[in-house]
Order: sequence, then structure tokens, then C-alpha cells
Amino acid sequence: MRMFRSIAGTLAAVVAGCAAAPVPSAPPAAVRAATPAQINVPVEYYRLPNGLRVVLSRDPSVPTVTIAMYYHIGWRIEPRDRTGFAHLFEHLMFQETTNLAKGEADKIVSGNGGVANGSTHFDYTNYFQVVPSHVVEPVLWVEAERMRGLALTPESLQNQKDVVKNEVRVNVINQPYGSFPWLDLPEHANVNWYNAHNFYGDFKDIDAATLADVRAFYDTYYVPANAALVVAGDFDSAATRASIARYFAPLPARPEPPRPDVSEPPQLKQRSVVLTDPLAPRPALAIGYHVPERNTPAWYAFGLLDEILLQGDDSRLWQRLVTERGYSDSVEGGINLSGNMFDYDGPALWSAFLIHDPGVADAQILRDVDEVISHLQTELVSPAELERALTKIRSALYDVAGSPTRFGLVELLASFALYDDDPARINRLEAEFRKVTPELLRRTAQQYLVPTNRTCLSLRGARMAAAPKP
Amino acid sequence: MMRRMSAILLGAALAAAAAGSATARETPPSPGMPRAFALPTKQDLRLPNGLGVTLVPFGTVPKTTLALVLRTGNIADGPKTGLADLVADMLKEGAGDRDAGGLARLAAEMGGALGIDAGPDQTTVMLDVLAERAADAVGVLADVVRRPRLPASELPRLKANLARTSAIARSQPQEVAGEAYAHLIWGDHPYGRTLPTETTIASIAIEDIRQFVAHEFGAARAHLYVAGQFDAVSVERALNDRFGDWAPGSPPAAHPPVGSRTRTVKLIDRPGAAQSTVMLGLPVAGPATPGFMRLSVANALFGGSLLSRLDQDLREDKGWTYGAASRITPYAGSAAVWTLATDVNAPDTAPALAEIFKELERLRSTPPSAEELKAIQNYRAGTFVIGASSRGGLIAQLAFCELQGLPADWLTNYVAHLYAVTPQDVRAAAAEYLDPGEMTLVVLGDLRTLKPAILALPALSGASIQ
Repeated sequence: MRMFRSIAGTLAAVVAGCAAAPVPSAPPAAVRAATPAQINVPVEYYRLPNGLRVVLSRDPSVPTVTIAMYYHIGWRIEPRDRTGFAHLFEHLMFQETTNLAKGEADKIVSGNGGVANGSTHFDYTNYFQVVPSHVVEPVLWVEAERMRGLALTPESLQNQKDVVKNEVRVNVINQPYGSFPWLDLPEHANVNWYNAHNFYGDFKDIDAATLADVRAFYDTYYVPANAALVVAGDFDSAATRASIARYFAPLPARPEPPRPDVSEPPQLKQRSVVLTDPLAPRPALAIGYHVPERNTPAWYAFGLLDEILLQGDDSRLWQRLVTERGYSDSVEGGINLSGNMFDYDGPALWSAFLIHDPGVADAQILRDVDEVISHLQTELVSPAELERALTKIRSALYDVAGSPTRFGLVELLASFALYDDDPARINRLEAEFRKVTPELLRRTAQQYLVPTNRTCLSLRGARMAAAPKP
Repeated sequence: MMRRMSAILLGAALAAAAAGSATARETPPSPGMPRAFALPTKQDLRLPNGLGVTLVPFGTVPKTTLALVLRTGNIADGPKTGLADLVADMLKEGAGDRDAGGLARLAAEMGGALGIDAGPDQTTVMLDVLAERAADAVGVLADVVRRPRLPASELPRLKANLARTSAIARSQPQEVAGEAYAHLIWGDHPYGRTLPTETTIASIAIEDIRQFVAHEFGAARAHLYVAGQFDAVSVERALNDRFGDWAPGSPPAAHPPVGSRTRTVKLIDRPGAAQSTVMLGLPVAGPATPGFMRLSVANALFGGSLLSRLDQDLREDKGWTYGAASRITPYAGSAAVWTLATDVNAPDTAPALAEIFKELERLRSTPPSAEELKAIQNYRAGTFVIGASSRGGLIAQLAFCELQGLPADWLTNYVAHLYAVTPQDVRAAAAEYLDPGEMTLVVLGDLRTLKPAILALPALSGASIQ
């Protein structure tokens, strides 16, 4: 319904499609060299005295600019008695501010030929727009205005509670498989409340939100030191730096908010849970494993295991479960279902899921999964298969760098600025993946892809055959 | 068909503030001067056998998107609804020297994956690869459409998949309402049958698949698009080598639909549904007709953009829905349907319908302000540029023009024609094309509580109730 509903998904999904206009880079003959070319995204990075992180990435090939503000607050650490609050708050950031009536911010963007949206994830909430190059100045002003002057009315708070509840109805309550497994799996695989609560929000918590809650959350998390502003595309660098200083430097410095302990204790035995979905016409199965800590060698190895096991119809689980066994038309998943392997800051899950027919037992599917995994734990991945996995990553990174909306690009730059203080990491990703050896892949599979580290969700429909008939 | 939500998407999308903003103390800076945007230069070829080829050198990264668009799809299903979908699925089951796994691995080694999709009028075989593999990818596409293995051994599995995904679709409210709506608008024409049934799937045999490929595929009804960075010499050589001796095939059969313009209401029960799924609309002018641009601007202003009146009213003012939108869906031969779709909180169903009819009447009777129209025109011009700035988006626009038989300058003149639309044009287009008295309405919801209030709506008096 919306042109850009979400930038979530695996890396490959994030970057589907897209390149920009005519600036030829290396000719094909040169590309075919022994060491493949890698992406080389221009990155200017600095912080304002009040702590705001600023990332500029210039690419003049298309006369548009992507402007994205990322706040280092997502649903993971939202208030305990206010499930769904981080997401509700995202909606509120499009309402009144000191100098803008409800709806005017979007009118500035869309009415000048841009698109705008926001989204909430585990560890960040973002506000992003793609606009024609001549609209950069007013949009930077809008982002500063939102950061300094939220002026929500009780009427707009009530209105957006209603809108959010309707969002949950259309996406979850009135939809088969609505929470499966993206909400269900974290809830059952994790034990720390921060990682395991209902991120979309219980209606009683959404209803209970007050203007005082809104003010406290805003004052704590929506501060310059907790945010990254990314500007990418066809802009004038000096003029944009000056505008950013003009609009954002006057915002007072406030402390970076504390982060609670979000760590997940080691899982010691397999968990199996049966869920009931009265709207679902077929059963479904999801599995989730805790992944290694981000930025470690094992984590890069896990990213490659994901490519080898699950990404694309050449992957091992696809070939076994879909092509050979015919359990389903697809098997999907990846690291961090609510985003990708680069955009979270805490514990995460790798998952795989499929919808299958009633005649197939979950145990039968799990036997196939275990066989495929067992092979990775005993045999070394061949150089050709490893190279294919690296090629998939390289191809996806090119699309991150070349997409005209630049959503994937600003997401990586903002994530690396907020979590690592190092957005230029984007240009070293492929080299990090290339360091992974077949031995490390096998060791990582042996250590992490074990039943004791696994949660299995079996979804059952209440009325397997019955669906509303016209 | 399945729509799996993988994130809270939240879209705060919003709308033009009609309400006063008189208290603003600081005003935003003004935009600068718009910069020029030119569509990338393309090269059109036609092979002697009739295959159309469009090459678009384009982009900043070494990637190439190739799409072979065949002028066939569910339009050629005959009584076996779902046949074109099964053909598309079967094409991935091996071609030339490779089985399904070999084909998948080859595509992945090139940096991509085969995407094959059947639509109402077009079947698209797509491959997005590293630039260095563009010429190789031409060969893969040629194998897939010219030397598909179509193994009978895989058909039962693919039929079971189609039966499963169709059953899942029939559990999704938007698909259920959409199936009923399409059938009311287009009747038994293939456009009116959006989902296969167990019966139609069971009736499909391997001979049907093979005959479909033999009869519906051919050079003269195909177009190959190549967009991105690539070596034009090796790509041209490959397409001559791999497609040059492809038989032209038979021309597509004309099968024009007749759309319903009878005011019709169909209510479908979904006991206990938290929301009601609403679809409302009628056949309208297609892209090749002179009134289309005026209608599409009217649609954008009404419900086709983030600034739209529908979202402003039903979401940002009333809070009855997460979103409401209208769109124009074009088919071959300048058939098209205008459809408004929304999911509203169940208790608000009848009031939401009343608002929708009220807004339609306002659109048909009163021209929009110049300011409101300008904002919509800017939005459409901006999204046109964004759409034309990606390999996939550019190919989609070119394939759309080809299917609709639009003149070569349609895309280059798009922005100028867009800005030529006046407030009076918007009102007149709505009055001409969007007559509620000719519309079909489908409501899927908890009828036990909702039916009396819906049928009591004055706008529905005299409608044929199903």
C-alpha cells in the first residue's frame, strides 16, 4: 500500500533491484581480475559538539538525496510496562512539533517530490526520505525540528494509538501466520525480557500510554548523542555541512542514555513450543538458533553459513527441503528476521521457517535439517561453494552501494556509526567475510548449530481445512 | 502470494494538513531550484525473428539486470486457472544441460537468482548478475525459455505447492476479497479468476505445460531488456548466438474483457474478524487513452499517494485504519480497473464507507485547490524519477510501455503531461470515470454485526446485493 513499507529483511532482500545512472566504473574485463573489485563507498564522518553523529556519502549519479535520521532506540529496551511503545512513538514523530502542524512535515517532503517513512526495529528507530536534490535544506530543517520540538496533542496521541492498533490488526490479528515467526520466535527463544517481549505491543499497554510517557521517552532517547544523521546522494558537501551545523548544532547536549543488560544467558537445552493460529490453513515450522556475538570471526562465519544454508534457491536447505523433499514452495529466514545481520546491537537469532502440508511431521523435517547441518559439521565446505557464498554477498553489497533509494546504504552507515562509531566499516565488510576459512565454518557450525542452542516452533491451525469461502 | 511481515513497518505516512498551521513561529527554509533529470539513453534492436531487444547502459555499480518478457500469462490459462503459474514454476526445474539445482547454482555463481513470474498478460524471466557475467546470463535466459526440461517427475510437487499457496491466499482477507472483487468486475474472463482452485490444479497435466510452452513462447512475442553496466559487444553477440534462431511463434490471441458497470454489493462473512476488508471500484480508461493522465492524477490526489485525501481522512483524522489507498491496475489492450482498498476497524465499517462515498462525491463535484494539485504533481514527478533510477524500475517502465503500445516518447513526456493537468481536469476525470453508481463493492467482515448498517447506507440504495 505504501510505496516503501519497510527496509527490513535479509541483506539480499534489502537490496533487491536497483542501481543508478550513467557513470561507468571499471570495465568488465578489469572486474574479472583474480581479486574481485569491492565496493568503495565515500564516507565522511564527524560528530557535532552535542554528540550527533553525521555521515555524508556523496554520489551524484541521480539528482536525489536520501536523508535518514537513526535513533539508537528500538523496541528491545522500551519501558517494561509499555510494550510496543518504541513503535507507537515512531508514529508520534510524524505529528505536531513546535513549528509544524500535524501532517506538515510530510507535506514538505512528499509535496516537493519526495517519499518519506519511518520504521522501528530491535535497536533503532529511523525516519528516512528520498527527495529531489533541491529539497535537502528544508528536510534537514524538518529532522532538526522533530529532534528539538515534539509538541504532541492528546488528540494526536489518541489518533495514533488507534492507527497503531489497526496496524496490529491488519498485520497480525486478522492475518494467518501474522506473528509467525518474527514475533513468536524471539518471544520463545529468549529469556531476557528485553529480547522476549511483545514488540508490537499489548493493546492494554498501548492504551495506557500517556503524554508524560511520551515526554520522558523523548527526553531520554531522542537526543543528539543517541542519533546518527546520514545524508547520501547528490548534494553539495560544503553547503550540507553548513546546513547541518546551522540546524543541529544549537540543540543542547544531553547525556547518551544508559543501556540496560540485554545479554541472553547461554541456552542449555532445546526448546519446543506448539502455537495455535486459528486463521492458518496449513501447519508451519520455524527453528531459531542464537548466533555468535557481532563483529567476531565466528559471526562473519555465521553470515556465510546463512548464505550456504538458506539464502537463495541454490542453498543447501532449499535444495533439500524444497527441491528434493517438496515440503514447501520455499524455506526462508536469516539472521535477525526484523532486519539483517548488520542492523542490530545485542543478541540475535538465526532462523529458518516454512509452511507445509498436514501429512508431513515436524520431526521428519527436522531430521532433514539435522542431516544438512551435520554435513557442515563434519565435512569442509568446498572452495567453489565458499566462493559462491562470497559472490552472493558481493552482489548484494553492490546493490546496497548502487541503489537509487540508498535505503540499504544509509542503514549500514547509520548502524555502524551508532553501534561501532565507524561507518567506514562498510568498505571492509567483504574483506572480513573473505578471512573466513572452511575450518572456521565447520567449527562455527559445530559450536552454534546444535540442538541445545535451538528453539522449535510448531504452528497448528485451529481449523486446518476451513477458510472463509465466498 | 504469501505476504510475510518481517518487521514492524510502521509507516507513518501522513497527509497534507488541511488544518490550520497559524501558530508556526519558525518557517522551514524553501526548496532550491529543481535540477534537470534525463532518462538514460537506450538502444532498441529487433532481431530478424522478431525478438525485441532494449539495452540500457546505466548505473554506478558493476551489476546487470536482464529480463525476458513474454507476451503470455494467465490470459492463456483457458479453463485451467493457474496453468501459467505452473509453467513459470516448471521453467526453474532445469534447462539445457542443467537440472533445477544446477540452474540455481549457476545463477548464484553469477551473483543472482532466477526469478520467473507469470502475471495476467506477461511472463517474466529475470536474472540480476554481476556485470562480468551479463553475456553468460543471456545464455541462461535462452536455455530457460528455449530448452526447458519440464520434467514430469516434478509436476506433482509443484501442483502441491500451488494448492498450498492458494489455500493460504484464501485464508488472507485481502486475497479473499480480491478474488471476489475481480470476479464481479471481469466475470469468467481470466482477469476475473485470481486464484486457482483444487479442481483447476488437479486438471493440469504435463502435456498442458508442454503445449503452453510450445504454443505461447516465441521470439516475436518476447522482449529482452538489459539494464546496468555490461559489455555491449559481448551481450549483443550472445543474444544473436542464443536467440537468433528462435522461432517467431504464433501471435498472442486477442481476448478483450468486458468489465461490469453495474452497481453491485457483495458481502462475505468472516466471523469474528477484527477488521473489515473493503474493495470498491470499476473498469476505467487504460494508459493508451487520452484521459488516462488526468484520471491517474485524480487517483493520486484521492488515494494514490501519501498526501491522499483517503489517508488524511480515514487514518490521520479518524484513526479507523492503518491505511487506505486507491490504484489503477492496467491490463493489455487498454483495459484497466480502478480500485480502492482498505482494512477498517470492524465497528467503523459503515461510517468508513459513508466517508469514502462522501469523498468521492467531493472529488467529482469540486476541483482541488491549485496548491493541493501542485503537491500531488510534485510527488508524482519525484517518484517517477526515483522509479526510473533503478535497473528494475526502468525495465518495469519500459515493459509497461511495450505492453500498452504507448508511443516512444511517453516516458520522456511523462513529467510535462503530468504538470499539464489542471484542477478542472481532475474534477472532470473523476466525474467521467469514477461514478459510484457503476461501482462494485466487496466487504469481507463479521456480517452478523455489520450487515444491517452497511445495507442501510444511502449510497448503496438500489444496488444489486449478492
